[in-house]
Amino acid sequence: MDLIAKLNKALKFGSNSSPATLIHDNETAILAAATQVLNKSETGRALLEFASETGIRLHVLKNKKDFGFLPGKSEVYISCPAGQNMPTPRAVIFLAGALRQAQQEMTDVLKRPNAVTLPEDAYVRSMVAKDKDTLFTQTSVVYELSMVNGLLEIVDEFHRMGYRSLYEAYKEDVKSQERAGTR
Amino acid sequence: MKLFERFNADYDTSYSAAAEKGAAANWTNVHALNAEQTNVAKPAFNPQFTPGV
Repeated sequence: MDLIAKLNKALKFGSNSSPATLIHDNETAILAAATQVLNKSETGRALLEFASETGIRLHVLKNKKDFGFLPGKSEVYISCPAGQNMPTPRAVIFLAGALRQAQQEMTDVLKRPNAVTLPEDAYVRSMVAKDKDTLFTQTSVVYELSMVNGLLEIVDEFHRMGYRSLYEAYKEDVKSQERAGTR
Repeated sequence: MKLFERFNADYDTSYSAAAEKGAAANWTNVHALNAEQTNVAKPAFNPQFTPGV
């Protein structure tokens, strides 16, 4: 595909798409449910407080990408295909990931690396570190909501997303720390 | 014992490869697009083309 075709595709040239149409029809309901649940976990509450203090806006978009952070706009988004409703546990896990990515960026802990200026190995290392950190935050939220609040559906959803072993490993780590009195 | 040793080990074993693959593909795409833009901005010199002839 040539450059113009790529740009046209990216900009949806010639279609009726506008930025406003990217917002999911059920955004308000999805976000209300997700933030209410996220607020019940210690990690999630801290993320929502961070968003509130830094003026980060939350959105639900109707596209395919899972979640992310738009630094230029100070917005985090989670995505759900148009016409579908998002199960609350998945929205909670996505929102936790998106907010952590915003926190990585805004606190300079794990800023998004520049693919143009960095060599491939350094770029990949940095992106993997960000991914691991994001997943750690999501796993913490899932653990807290399930073990502390008894919301077991969120564990099932995390398993469906392919993170069963990660959750079990985290749980074992917490147990070990409790035995050692470090948590 | 290191904190979250099992989590770290499981991520490194089971999930980091996918993240590496995705990041490498992204890096390659960015550089490919960058190279195309450079080519559009600076057309190759054509010694057979002589302006005004």
